[in-house]
Amino acid sequence: MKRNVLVATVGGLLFGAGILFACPTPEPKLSPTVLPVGQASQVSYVQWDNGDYDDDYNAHPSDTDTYVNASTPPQITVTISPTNGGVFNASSSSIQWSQPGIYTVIVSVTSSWKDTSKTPAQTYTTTGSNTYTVTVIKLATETLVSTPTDRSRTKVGVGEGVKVKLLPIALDPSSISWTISPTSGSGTLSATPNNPIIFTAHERASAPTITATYAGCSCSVTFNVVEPDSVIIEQQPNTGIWHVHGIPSVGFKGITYLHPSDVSFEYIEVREGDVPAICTGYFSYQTGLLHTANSSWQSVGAVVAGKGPKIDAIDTISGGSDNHTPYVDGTFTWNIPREFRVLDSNASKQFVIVPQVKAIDNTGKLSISKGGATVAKGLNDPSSSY
Amino acid sequence: MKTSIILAFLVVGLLSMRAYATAPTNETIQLVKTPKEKYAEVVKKLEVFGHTDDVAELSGIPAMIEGIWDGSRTDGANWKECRRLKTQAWFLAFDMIDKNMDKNFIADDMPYENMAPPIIDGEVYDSGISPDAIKNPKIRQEYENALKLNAEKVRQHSFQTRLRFYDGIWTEYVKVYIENQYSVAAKGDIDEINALVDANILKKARKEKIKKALLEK
Repeated sequence: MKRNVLVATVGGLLFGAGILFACPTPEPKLSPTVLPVGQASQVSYVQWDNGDYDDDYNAHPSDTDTYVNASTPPQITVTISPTNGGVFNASSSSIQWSQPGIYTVIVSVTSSWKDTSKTPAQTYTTTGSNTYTVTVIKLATETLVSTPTDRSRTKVGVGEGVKVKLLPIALDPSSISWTISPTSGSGTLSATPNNPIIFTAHERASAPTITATYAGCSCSVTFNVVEPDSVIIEQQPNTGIWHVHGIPSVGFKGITYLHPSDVSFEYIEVREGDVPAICTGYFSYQTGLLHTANSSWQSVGAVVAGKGPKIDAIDTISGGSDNHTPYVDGTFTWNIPREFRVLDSNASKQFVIVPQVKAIDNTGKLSISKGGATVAKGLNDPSSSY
Repeated sequence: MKTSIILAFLVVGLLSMRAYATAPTNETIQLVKTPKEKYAEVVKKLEVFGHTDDVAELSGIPAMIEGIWDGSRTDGANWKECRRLKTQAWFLAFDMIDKNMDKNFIADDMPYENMAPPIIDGEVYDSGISPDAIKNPKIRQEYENALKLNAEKVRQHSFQTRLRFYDGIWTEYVKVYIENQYSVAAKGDIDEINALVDANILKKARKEKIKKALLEK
């Protein structure tokens, strides 16, 4: 049995500290006290009633005491400190948490009771308070590279590194356990127990979930690990279009960007592969001509805003002919395979085929296109350089 | 019934003895390397890199250094030695980067992914063509020479680019490591970092960068 001696009121009038009564005191509850941001802690209470309690605020039939609940419902007050991370909703009797942190929460429940043994019946007000420490946790992520500028993104390139931190940072790292799932093909976590840790994405597309568990409460983040899937090529700024007067010929210097453009591919290398030419019409004589891969792997630089991760190399994209006549329509196509590999891996993978197409018409005008960029020169255009 | 129980105990007993007798094999011993041995492997890897200038040698460095010690402090005083070894390994790695970084490197002076053969006697070939497809020996030779020079430029450019990339990424690793293992409030921690920086890093700018990272915690 729990009886407290508290200030009482009779008919709403405060008698003052000198008049004390023994009456049932509600006991506030708050649960859970460790939870992730976005969830709520529920406030509840139990009513102590002459050694036998129920928590529905109704008089128990078997109770022998003379207290019955008054018509006024219990009043719940909640004080949260610091004040910036949780909001108490009176209608749902819950605290909605929006910021990670360690909070002190004082929950008070005030109940009104009638002592029916008195004539007239007396009404008492009793207040029970409890203080809780509530830990609100959240996983925060930050990419190690600074481009793209959104470093909290969870869509990352293959092999990318991301700092993962369980907030608030004041948590004891030795009380935090980290897991990654699935257990294979998901990438790796740096040494634990630590907080923060570093997640290194797998060398292939995947969707790993990293979970941090503290005091039985878990927070998870799922990454979308993507491979490059295409390229776009733009003419290098401040360069010209190459042509030799009187010979079907044209070319330009291209800069290649990888897609998707909203992740970093600085952790990979790329290169082109070998392929024979497919030709029609005028260029039939070049059928089978081999494009030879530059055997060197090219590094990939930072993301250029609005374009994507830039390959650290200039692509000379040019073509010509043996100038045989008459000129007739014809095409020459290299369907060039492109492959990538993550820096610390030798396992390469083809991710796209980029056609390089040279086309001639019956005037000897030649065009060449690759990766979305196209240039053309007429036969009698003046000679020009890149 | 009794006989079979006795036999079962005998079998279990014999199997246990066998397991005990064969327990620590050379294989199992090799699997458990001490932090000192792991540190020595990092140093060796950095030395190989120093001799070969092969940037691929650097790619596994963070994982190797991470593996020296997991950060747990359950084994009494020994964790301090583990922490020191790991910190020292990071600093040696940075020093290796510093020693190889070319201050005259121009990132925009990029190599070629494809090149066009030279135009001699009006013969025009497509860029990226296989040298074997060029019949004119003079064009083929000049083209092959240009490809060879470009391949070396790719290697050099990639080397310098990667050094800068690793510099940035490893700095993040070290910041995380320092955040976990050192306290700005602890004079002993500050002293340890400063002593290791001074003993393992030559460049003044790097020393200042690391000390700043510590204070940023």
